[in-house]
Amino acid sequence: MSSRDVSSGVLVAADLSKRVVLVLTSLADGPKHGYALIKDIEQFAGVTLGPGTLYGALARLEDAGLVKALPAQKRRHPYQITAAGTAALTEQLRRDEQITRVGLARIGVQPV
Amino acid sequence: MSSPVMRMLLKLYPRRIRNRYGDELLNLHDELRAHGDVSRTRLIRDAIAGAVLVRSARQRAHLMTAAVLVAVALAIVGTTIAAGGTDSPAGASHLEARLTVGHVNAVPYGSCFVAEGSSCSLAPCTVFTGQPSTEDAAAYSSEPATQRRPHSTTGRCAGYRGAGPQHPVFVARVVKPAHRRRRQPRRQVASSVGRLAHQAQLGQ
Repeated sequence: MSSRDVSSGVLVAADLSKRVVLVLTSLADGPKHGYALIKDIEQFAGVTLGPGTLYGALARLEDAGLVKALPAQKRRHPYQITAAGTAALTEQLRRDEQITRVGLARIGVQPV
Repeated sequence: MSSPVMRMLLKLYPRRIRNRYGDELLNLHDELRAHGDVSRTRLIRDAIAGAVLVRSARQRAHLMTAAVLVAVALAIVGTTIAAGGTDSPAGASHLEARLTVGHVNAVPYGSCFVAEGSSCSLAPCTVFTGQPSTEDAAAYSSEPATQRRPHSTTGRCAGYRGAGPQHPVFVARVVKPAHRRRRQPRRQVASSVGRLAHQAQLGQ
C-alpha cells in the first residue's frame, strides 16, 4: 500500500497528523500567517502545503485549542501556538525522537 | 487558477470552514499564484484534498454512525433470509423446490419431503406420509435390495403443495447443513424416496 493511498483511514490520519506537527513546529518560534507558514514549512521540512490542506490543519488545530488566530493584518490572520499546542507538540516530538533513535540503532546508523 | 474556479471548489468545504477560513484561503491562493510558487493543477488537487480531509475529520462520526446502521440493517435482512423458516407454504415458497418423485435426483441432500395432504410442523421430518403414485412404486420395486436405505432426513418441514391425487407433487425445502453440503448420490436418493413411498403404501 502506498503512502498516497487515501482509501485507508489509518494512512489519512497519519498523514494529517504529520501536517499538524509541521504547522505546530512552524508556529513554535512565533505567530505566522498562511503564506509565511507555507514558506517556512517548505524550508525546514521540504514539504509544500497547499492552501486547502493548510487551512484544513489549522481548522482542526484551532478547534482543539492548540492554536489561536490573532487579529487580522492586511486581511490575513496570523496564527499563534497556545500552551496546550506547545505541550502537544513537545509530547509528539519526544515520541518521534524515541522512534527515530530506536530505528536508527536497529539499522546500524548513528544519530547525527 | 481563476478565482471563479477556486470559489466553486470552496463550496466543497463545510459552511463553517468556508465562513471562517474562506477569504483567507482565497487570498493565500492568489498570493501563491502571484508568486508562481505552485502550479494550477496542484492547487486544484490541494483544494479538493483539503475539502476531503476537513469533511472526513468533521463528519467521521456521522459517517460511522450511518455505516453502522446500514451494516446492522443488512445483517438483519441477511439473517431473516437465511433463516427463511416459516411453516406456511406461501411464506416458504421462494425457498422450496417443487419436485416429483420421478426427478428425485434433483433433490439436494438433506432435503425434507412433505407429501401432499400431510401436515407440516417444525419437527424433523423422518417419515413419509403421502401416497405415492404408481410410477413411484415401480421405481422403488426396480431398485436392488442393497440400494434400499432408510431415509434419514433431518430437515425442517417447509410446507407442501399438491397437483392432484393422480400425480402427487412433493415439495422439498432446500436444507443444506453446513457440515454436509455435498449432494447425495443419485441412486441413493432415489432409493431413499422409493423406500419412503413404500412405507407410506404400507401405512407405516
